[in-house]
Parts: sequence; structure tokens; C-alpha cells
Amino acid sequence: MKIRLIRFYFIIEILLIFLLSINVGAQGLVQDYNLTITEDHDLKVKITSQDLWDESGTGEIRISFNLTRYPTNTSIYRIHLLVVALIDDAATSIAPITQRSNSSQDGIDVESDSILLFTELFETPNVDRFYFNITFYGRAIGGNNSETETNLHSIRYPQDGPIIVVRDNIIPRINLYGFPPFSFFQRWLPFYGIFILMICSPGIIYGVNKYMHSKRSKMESKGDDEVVINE
Amino acid sequence: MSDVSIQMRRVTDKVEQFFRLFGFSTSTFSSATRTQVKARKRLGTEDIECVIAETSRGTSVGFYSVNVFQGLVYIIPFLFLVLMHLFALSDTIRPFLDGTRENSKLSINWLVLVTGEATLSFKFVTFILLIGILPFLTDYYIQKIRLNNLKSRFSFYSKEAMWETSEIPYSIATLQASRSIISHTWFLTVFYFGVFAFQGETQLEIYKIFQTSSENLKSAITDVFTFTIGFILGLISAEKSLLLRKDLSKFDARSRFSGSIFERRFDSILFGVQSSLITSSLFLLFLSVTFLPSATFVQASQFLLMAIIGGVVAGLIYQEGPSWVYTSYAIAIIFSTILFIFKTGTQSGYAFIINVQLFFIPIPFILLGSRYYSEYLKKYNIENHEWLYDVFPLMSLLSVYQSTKRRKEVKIAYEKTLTEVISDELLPNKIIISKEAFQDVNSIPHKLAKHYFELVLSYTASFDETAFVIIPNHNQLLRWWSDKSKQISGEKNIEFIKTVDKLLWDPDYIPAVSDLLTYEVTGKEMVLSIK
Repeated sequence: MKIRLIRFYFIIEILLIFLLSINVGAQGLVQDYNLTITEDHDLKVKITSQDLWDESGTGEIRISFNLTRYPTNTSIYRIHLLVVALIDDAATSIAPITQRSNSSQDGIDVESDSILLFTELFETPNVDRFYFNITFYGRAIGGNNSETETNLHSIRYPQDGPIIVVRDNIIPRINLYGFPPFSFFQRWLPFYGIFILMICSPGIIYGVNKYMHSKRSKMESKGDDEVVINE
Repeated sequence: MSDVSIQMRRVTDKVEQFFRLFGFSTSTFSSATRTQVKARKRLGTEDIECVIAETSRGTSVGFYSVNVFQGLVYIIPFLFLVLMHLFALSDTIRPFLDGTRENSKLSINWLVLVTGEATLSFKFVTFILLIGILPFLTDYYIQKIRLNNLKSRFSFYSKEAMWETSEIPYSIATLQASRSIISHTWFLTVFYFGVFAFQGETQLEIYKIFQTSSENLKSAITDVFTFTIGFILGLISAEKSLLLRKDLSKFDARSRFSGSIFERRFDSILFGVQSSLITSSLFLLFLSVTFLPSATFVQASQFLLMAIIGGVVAGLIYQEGPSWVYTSYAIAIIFSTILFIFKTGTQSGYAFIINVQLFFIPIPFILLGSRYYSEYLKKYNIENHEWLYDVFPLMSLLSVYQSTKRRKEVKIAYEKTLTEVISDELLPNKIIISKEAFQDVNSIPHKLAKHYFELVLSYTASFDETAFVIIPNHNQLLRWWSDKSKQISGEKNIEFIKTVDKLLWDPDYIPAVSDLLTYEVTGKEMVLSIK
């Protein structure tokens, strides 16, 4: 019974650790943009993403569109093109551009009382800091004019500062720089060799003695009446 | 020899044979007025000499210690260290020692190599001489106690006898062991810190390859040194002290059979810790004046802690044999190398000393050859462990030389008695010395024949009724014979032993020649049947 309990707690612990190790970086950076598209329509764009992006990981960006001011209940804002680009400080593109909608006829509608949500997953680029540049083009339908042209809107996210990439620790734990130079061993090895010789001396004495003893016993076995008394 | 009276000559011969029965090696001196017998025996690690002089006024018995001052030889290396610094004071000799005489790449600063950052000061001189003279003092102390015990047994003859005898404290084995251990570790220290003695561009090259400075390198070397050498010092000093304690207690049966098995195990661990602490603190004293004057408290405590751990390990495993201790010696070096590899990322000085440390791994495997050396020494009856871990076993070789010299003297004296006693006093046909019986010294037939021969000699010497000779009696002889042959003796053998007993004890018993011949044949058969 005891062992089962221990195993149970063990498994629970492992599960907890596994669950907690999943990136819970959902406390992200939320920013709202209120755009005036036409005289009658206002669009609110809410973008969320992670605060810090890991160097060798991925990050998610969520864009939600919501019409806040519209003339009638049946206003629609039709998005024809949505482009998300990653840029650095100098506004140069650092990753391939992601496009959502390409054709001019079809589009994605933001209805008057609904929220449209886009999510994209990006790999962290190989820079220290970057921004998102979100560009979209759409048409507002409804109101005084049934179809109105709109301009291209471009949003830079985040507004206050760039997204920072957290680098992995690349301090080497083990760094064997090399082998000592030969001039060191030129002087060190003779002393060490003399030490080894001195330690070997008892074994050498034993070996020499054994050799001489074997020689002597061979000579003595051929000898005649000789009384050998050793203490 | 002819000037001395026959009575005195017989007495000295008897005394000489008496001593020789107990394993002493003897020499006699005779003059017109006195004779003197000097008997010398190796008791443990020292020699004891007993001098018995017989004069017309009476007998004198004296016990003296010999070869005590030979321990002072071991202070010479320490004196040499001090002398080097003294010579360096003069401007003519200093360039030779500093390595500044030759402006070549391969010059060595001998002072720094051998003594580190030592300066000639009062502290330096006293510490060095103190550490050097300690082993000699312990030997002298042990010898003094042994002699006092011996004298008190012959209280009737010597006026220096004491009522209460003192015992040798076994903790003294640590100080006896410290001599060779400190020399062994001093060598290793020289190899660790040798970098700083190599003049020229070696140090600059090292700083460039490993991207360090001299302070970082020194602290890294000190760190690894205290870790590795602390453990090794504790290990080998504990092992040697435990073995020396075993040698000391050989003469004392009370300590051998007291305590349960668990107590003895725990006791050996405690003794190992105690001895490792003593040796490591002595060595720390030495280091504080020579190689590590700028060590921190943390490093010194690390040294002592690793010594304690080494003592515990030695206390646990020393009974299994020396091979276990030597493998832990090698494992300590490998383990510390692996451990300090993980510090090379932050401090690069460690990468240098790790490569140097790996060269010390063959040392314990060479030390395994000490087993053969102990076999060699056993032939000369040196069964103690005093020579263990000596870098060059000088004193054991000296005692081997002395014992061979003594053996020659004994051999000459033996042959002298053979020719004198046998040819002069006994008929040559009565005793046949066959070659087979005397070939192998350690065989039982040889020992039996020697014993038989000595019994007969003592029979000749004990013709005098007032003499006192130690020989076995009838029952002892029978028991000894049945033990040796492991069979119940036949009638012939019992008859033989009875007649030998009568020969030795009964002065009126004179057997017939034919009986003696038959008994001689049975005796020879008995001797040669035990093989």
C-alpha cells in the first residue's frame, strides 16, 4: 500500500512538472488601436502577443477586429488583404511576409456586432529585437454609401518598444583550452621520471635478487658435499 | 684463548648457546681476566643488545639499544632545504640556485621548485627542523620503553629495574608513519607547483593558451591540490599508521583479542581519522611556510576535510589489502579531474592543472610492487611496514646489509663449533650430517634437524650438574612428535624418544654402542619421514 501511494504521488509530481513546463507565457502584451476608417466607421484592433520571445522557440500573435462605431446594424467591414511582417528598428523586413487574403472579390467580413480573430504562429527571428508591422486593406459596406473605398492601414505593434528576444545561455560549461606547451614538459618530465625510478627501485632490487638467486641455485645444485647452513 | 680458565670458557659457551636458542646473534670476547658475551636481536624495528660479562668478581648484565641514532639520517633532507636558502644569501652562489646564471629557455629556479615561496626566517627554520626531528624522537621513545620493560624482567641482575612498566601508546604509530608520507606528498607538491619555477617563456605561453593570469592559475592549482592531495594524504597516512599499529600490537596479545568485530571496525575508522588529521596538520604547517603562504581559510579547511574523508576510507578498506588502497588512490585523481572539468568554463586555470594531474595515475600501480619487496625482506626477518611509501627505502636496505653481515658471522661460528665440538669431543662416526637434511632452510626436516642438533649440543654442555639448561621433558617431546607427524607413534619411536630423554636427564645412563646405532637409524627415519 505504501509503495502504491508513493508511486501515485510520484506520477502526480511528474505530471505537474510536465504541465508547468509548458510555456505559460500567456501574460502577454495587449495593445488596442482605434482607427477611423471612414466618417461613420471606427475599427478597433486588438493585438496580443508574448512579452518575451525565446530565441529557439515560437510565438503567437492574435489580431482581433471589432467595429466600434457604425451607422446601421448591418455594417460590414470586408478585409481583402492582411499582411503581417516582422521588421527591425530600421523597418526592414527580417522574415518572409505572411499574407492572409489575396483576392479582391472575396474577403473576410467583420460584422457589426462580432469580433474577427486571426492568429499566426511565428518562429523567433535571429535578432535581438523586432516589431510587427500589420497592414490590411478592406472596404466598409453599409451606411450612407453602400460601398466605400478604404485605404491601406498599417499598424506597428508594439507601440512603446520592440519585442525582445531572450537569448539562450551560451556560456560554455566545459572549455578545455588545450594542452600545456612542450617547453613545460621539457623540464617537468625529467623530474617526474626520476621520481618514478626511485619508486620502482624496490621492485628492481627484488628482480635483480631473484635473478641472481636463480643463477646461484643452478650453480649449487651441481656442487658436492657442501653443508649449507642458513639462518 | 688458552689464558682463560676452562670453567669460564665453558660458562661463556653455555651462555652463548642459551642466547642462540632464543634467536639472538652472539659474539664472544675473552681475555685473561674476563669474558664477555654480546647478544644482539632485532625486536620490532630496533636492535637490542644484551651484554653479559663474566669476571672473577661476578657477573654483569646490561641491556643497550643499538641503531637508534640511525633515525637521524632522515633529517638530512630537511637540513638540505635550509642549507639551500643559506647558500642563496651569498651573491656568488645565488645565480646557480635562482636559474639566472644561464639566460636560456630551460633555466629552473631551484629554490622555488623545491620550497615554493619560502624565505629564510625563524619560522621557516623551526618548522622544517621540527617536522624532520619528530620521527627520530618517536623511535627513541619507543626504544626507551622497550628497554625499561626488558630490564624490569631481569630485576635481580640490573639495578635499573622498575616496579611498574609502561606500555607503548599506539597513537605513536601516526608520527612514525608521518615521515615517509610527508616526503611522498612533498614530491607531489613539487610537481603541482613546478610551473612557477620554470623561467623563460613557459609561463607566458601558458597564460596565452589558457587565457589566465598568474593569480588565477595559482588559485586554481591550489584548489585542485587541496582537494586531491588532501584525500591522498589522509588515505595513505591512515593506512600506514594502521599497519604500524598492527605491528606494534604483535607483542601484546591483550590488544589483539579484545573487543567485538564491530568495535574493531569502528576503532580502525577512528584511528584512521586521528592519524590523517595529525599528518595533514603537520603537512599544512610545512605548506604554510613554503608553498601556500597565501592560501585562504576555505582552501585549508578543504584540505583537512578531504584528509578526514581519506582517513575514513582507509579505516574501512585497509584490511582488504594494499591493492584496494592503491586503487582508491588512482580513483581519487580521476574523480577530482572529472569534477574540476566542470569548472573550466568559468575559470580557465583549471584546464591546465587537470592535464598535469592525470600524469600521476601510474604512481599507485607502481607502488603495487611493494608486495614483492616485502617478500624479499621477509627472507631477512624484516616483517614490519616501516619502509612503506618511502621514496627510496634506504634504511631497510641498510638493515638487510647488516643482517647479511651478521649471518656470515653466525655461519662462521656455527662451522667453528661443528669442527671443534664434533671432531674434538664426539666420535665422528656417531653423527652423520647428510646433505639432504640441510638444503632447504625453511623446510620442516631442516628445522627438526637443527633442533635435534641443538639438543645434542646442550646435552654436551650440560654435563655439569650445576648448570641450568632449558630442554623439553618426555611428555613434551611425545606431544611435539605426535603433533608434527599427526599419527600415533609406533613402539620404536616411543623407545627412541624415551632414550633421548634419558640421555638428556640421566647422568648415569650410558647406552651401548649398538643401541645408539639403532636409535640413530630410527631418529633419521623420523626426521626424514616428515616432508
